[in-house]
Amino acid sequence: MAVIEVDELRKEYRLRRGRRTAALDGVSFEVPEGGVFGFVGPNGAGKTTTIRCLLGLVRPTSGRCSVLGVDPQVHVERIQRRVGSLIETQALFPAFSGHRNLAHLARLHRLPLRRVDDVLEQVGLAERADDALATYSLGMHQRLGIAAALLKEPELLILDEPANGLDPQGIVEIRHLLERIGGEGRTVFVSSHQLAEVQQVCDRVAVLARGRCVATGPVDDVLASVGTTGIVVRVDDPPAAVAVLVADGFEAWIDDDGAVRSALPPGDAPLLARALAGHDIYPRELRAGGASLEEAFLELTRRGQQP
Amino acid sequence: MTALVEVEVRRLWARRLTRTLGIVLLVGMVVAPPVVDRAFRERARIERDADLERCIQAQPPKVRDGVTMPTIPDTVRSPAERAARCERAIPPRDGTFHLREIGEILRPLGALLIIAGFMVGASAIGADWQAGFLPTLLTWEGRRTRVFLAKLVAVAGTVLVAVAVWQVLLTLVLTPFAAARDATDGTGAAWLRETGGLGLRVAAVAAGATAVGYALALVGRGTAAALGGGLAYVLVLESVLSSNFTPLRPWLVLDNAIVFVKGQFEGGPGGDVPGRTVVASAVLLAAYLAVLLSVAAIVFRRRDVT
Repeated sequence: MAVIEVDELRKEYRLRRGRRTAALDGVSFEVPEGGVFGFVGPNGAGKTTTIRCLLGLVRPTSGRCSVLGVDPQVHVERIQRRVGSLIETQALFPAFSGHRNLAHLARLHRLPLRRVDDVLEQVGLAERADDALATYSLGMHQRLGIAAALLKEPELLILDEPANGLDPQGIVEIRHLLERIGGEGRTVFVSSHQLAEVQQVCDRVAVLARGRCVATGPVDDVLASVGTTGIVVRVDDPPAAVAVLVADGFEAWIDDDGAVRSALPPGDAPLLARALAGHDIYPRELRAGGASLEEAFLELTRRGQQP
Repeated sequence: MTALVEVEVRRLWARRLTRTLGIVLLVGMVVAPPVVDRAFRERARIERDADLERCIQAQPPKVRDGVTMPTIPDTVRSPAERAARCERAIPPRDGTFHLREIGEILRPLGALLIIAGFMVGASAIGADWQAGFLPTLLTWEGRRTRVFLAKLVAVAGTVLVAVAVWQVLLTLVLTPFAAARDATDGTGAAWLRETGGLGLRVAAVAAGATAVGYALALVGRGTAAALGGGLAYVLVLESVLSSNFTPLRPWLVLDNAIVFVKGQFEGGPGGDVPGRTVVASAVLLAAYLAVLLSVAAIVFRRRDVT
């Protein structure tokens, strides 16, 4: 059974002079029960808008979505007790301590206050629980937001960029937390830019680009659908190599570890080698790019952004 | 709903603006006796100086506390002679604060309390929009009408009770001060009824102003929008309309609020706003408020929360 169903969801926003822009342009995907589902896409792809539709905060222009079998636009109150959420950075009351903020939320659903201590412990905030929120770092705000989402012991956890602002240690802790929750039979729906994290923690993903879902399914299937993509070239002078390739009409860039990358299929590697050699640039390494989710994401979103 | 109201009241009292206003009101109560004493003595001195001047200039005398001030014959021409005789004729004014005059303190202070209520109402929801708390709240209680009502009840109810209680406390603080000067005459049941009515009307208008600030900030999604829009409407637009289009006065918010708070022209033709009784003003203000709150609730229910 799908805990989230999104069917041809479209959301338009009005611009000045009567123009309209579509934040979502017919998004469809399903999230099965249990496990961790990743929702990835570049900035502006429509991830947060989709999440807001799922939570009943934004009314779609057309299409439909359901959460735990309920249309959130009609009966959001029926699922609120069963869904925990974090939308970007959770905005709570800065003058209150973390504990007091969560205690207020707990009162809204008449939850036992010991749950507050439990979730603060889970996200590693127990020691700072009595400090005012105004003294928290961005990462601590994020942990508190996740704690708030966990407070109701929800069947479904919807998290929008939960790793924002977290340090590497915090990211690992949140990964373990999500894995544990997903392993308990509950469902975690998480949007993220941390693609390496998504690949490690998620069973399934949906990739969004320009308001459309360009791929969805188990992570391995999504990677397989893209195939082994791109070419990695290591040279002594990467900027010069990129300049040469771009001048010759190739798409090329320098990646985070200083290698030159191209989106060309691996079979076209001789073309790159020839172009570089023509300018006295000789690769130290020339290989096919690994099929990481990051690469798959880049390829899928590149395809999705082509008109 | 009860839990939501309770949480909202707690949050309201934790706000810096609310606490600051609370401290100001507390300090105001503590310093009230000496300030009131000085203000009443100063007023008596100014009134006597004015009466003296009218007498010297041979202008028609004023009626003070039901007594027409004495004057001197026009035949006395010499300015020095007129000044000397007027000085003897005009009796000294009693500058003692009498408890029966508490209304003269509550009315002007009421205007400040009403403005403060407007600010508290606008800030209560405006700050939530700015801090992004409303989306969080709506993921916990998604029934927007409930959220709208709970927040409204919390903020307007708090202001209603706080303003009413503060006026009672101020009166209680000034009571021993007046008693020590043997100035509690005229404070029987009628006075109690009149003063109680005034205090309740001030509290009601302050709560209404709070609701107006709340509705404007809810629609405008910010405190500044509500404060700017509300104050510009009342202080600029209504002032212009009131002074240039007199027939509109019975329909303006500020004029009706003044009639309602003063509460002394019921049924009388010569009130602040011709044709408006206290009851009619109350009904009109309540109708305006109901329309504004309904529009705000509909907008809040229908608009996307981003």
